Amino acid sequence: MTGHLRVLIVDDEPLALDYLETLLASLPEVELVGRCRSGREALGQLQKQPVDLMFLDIQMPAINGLDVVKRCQSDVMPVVVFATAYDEYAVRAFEANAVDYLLKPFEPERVHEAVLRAKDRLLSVALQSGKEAAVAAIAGLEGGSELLAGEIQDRPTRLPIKDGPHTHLVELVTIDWIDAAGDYMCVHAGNETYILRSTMKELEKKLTSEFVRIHRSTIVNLNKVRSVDAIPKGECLLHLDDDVSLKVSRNYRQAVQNLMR
Amino acid sequence: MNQAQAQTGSFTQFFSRTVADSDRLFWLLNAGGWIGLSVVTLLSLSLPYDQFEFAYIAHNLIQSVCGFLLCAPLRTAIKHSWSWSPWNRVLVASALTIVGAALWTAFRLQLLMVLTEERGLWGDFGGWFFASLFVFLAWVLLYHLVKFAQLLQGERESLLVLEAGRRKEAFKLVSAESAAREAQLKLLRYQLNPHFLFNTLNSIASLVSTERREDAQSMIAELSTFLRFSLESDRNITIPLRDEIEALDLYLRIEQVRFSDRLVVEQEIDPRTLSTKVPSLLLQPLVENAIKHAIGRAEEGGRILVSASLADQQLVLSVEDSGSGVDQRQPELSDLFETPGFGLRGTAERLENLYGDAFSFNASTSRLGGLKLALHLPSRGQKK
Repeated sequence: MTGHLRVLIVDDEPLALDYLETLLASLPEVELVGRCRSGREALGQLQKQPVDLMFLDIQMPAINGLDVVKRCQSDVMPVVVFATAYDEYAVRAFEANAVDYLLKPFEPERVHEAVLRAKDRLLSVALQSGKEAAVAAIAGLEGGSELLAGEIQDRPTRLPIKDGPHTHLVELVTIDWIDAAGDYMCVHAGNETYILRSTMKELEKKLTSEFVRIHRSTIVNLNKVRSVDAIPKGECLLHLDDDVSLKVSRNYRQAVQNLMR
Repeated sequence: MNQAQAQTGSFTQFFSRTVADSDRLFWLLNAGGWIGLSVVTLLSLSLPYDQFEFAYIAHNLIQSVCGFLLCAPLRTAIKHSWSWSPWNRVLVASALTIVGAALWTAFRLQLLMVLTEERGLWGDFGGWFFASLFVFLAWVLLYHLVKFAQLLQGERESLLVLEAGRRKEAFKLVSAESAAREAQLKLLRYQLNPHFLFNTLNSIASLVSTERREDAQSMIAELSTFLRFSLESDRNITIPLRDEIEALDLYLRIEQVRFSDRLVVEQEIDPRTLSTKVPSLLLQPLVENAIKHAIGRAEEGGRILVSASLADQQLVLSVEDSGSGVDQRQPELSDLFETPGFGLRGTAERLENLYGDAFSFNASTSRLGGLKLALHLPSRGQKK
């Protein structure tokens, strides 16, 4: 990779953002493209511009760092470095999944190290999305779910998601969108995000025709789309309820053409 | 269990049952003593003098049975005099010895004369009586010995029970103390929320890196003062509300630097409440939680309001926030108690220790939009 890493920093405390900005300013590899003071703001920024690396504070009100990862569309998800003041469980989950993290107060050398590591990751071809490792860490932290193999004979309109001893029967009509992150699928329904161990193929078999692929790793429920924006490079942006925006890649644009006719 | 053990077991059982039941013990020992006397008589008189005729053997046995029966009223009499003064008891015991010995001697003399051809034995009464005296003296002494041993044993047992009770009490006290200390440590750890501590250190590092030297210095000073206050304050004592508000201000100033424009703090403190005693660091956890909610709506920021007033002889402290804008449900106190990291339960336990049930918690919707937590405390100190 040549040139700069496009970096986004997210923290609810302005002083923490200032500090990180100062530390990053001394690193030649970094081009700071934005500072966000909330998870919601970060999700918006990620749809607006390409980002390579995001420093993400976990402890934020409303939408915390882990929620940002869950809710961010896999296809625009950068490499993530979590920041936390004190969260032993999260740190353990990150270590197990080789997700980078910074402890507060930040150490300048450690921040540099995180940037170099992110650069290595972005260079490696194997990496599909920044969401992959982070979601695996969150699944380790919160306990992932799985898709039940069998079908509910008389109710094929529900998705049976097994979460430990509990099985959620998620109505397909309540699902807004779905994205893939490595071994996991994130099913977004209302305010809930179910992280389940499954493949895109497996899941697609259970879905009805209003679910269409709009990106390499993203499926949307067309009934939930409120508006569509055309953006440069032949891509477009779908707006759903609850401030969710999803990017449609050029290759899958055909799928949403019908909406605009 | 093998047979030997079984036998020991049943013997031990028999023994302890016998010792516990004093009637049973008396008859057993009494019978043993008189049988013993018969055996001694057999060995020391019949054997050396070759008196193995039926009459002598029968005389030996019957006189023992007579003695055995005679001792029953003796026991009743001694028992009857047990609570008398020592001298009277000695007197009674001596009289009983003499009377018992005399009666027994008369009986066995008469018996011998009936059983054998010998006549005119009454002349030997003195010698026979002399021997009988020793038998009855021994009986009375043995009776007292056993009785005293029993008393001693009983005393020791009750002492042991007392001691065990005392130890149990002491243990209870120690475990209560350690529970209290543990609660205190937990509280301390909660008060010194690691998130707060590390985030504040990060803010200080930020101020240093952006060369805001004076801000950094004052933040370090405020953090130090607040930490000192947290560490030094004894959780079991109460402090004037004035001091509590002062400590809260330190904490709020730090939080305000961290969240700057996003956090607006207001206070409505009735000056009459300032000298009222409250548990130290009572408000801080509630305020910390309110801040969490107030700045929940990140884009707009939020407000919190801390107020103190007097109503019906009670101190009313309340902490309100403008809400996260996400959860607009009517607040339920029971839900709040279960919220992890809130520490409401710990606060309630502390208040219970200090005030018994003379305090109350109240959750409602604040006019600022979020949660309002109100605490009613007795305005005149502790009431335990």
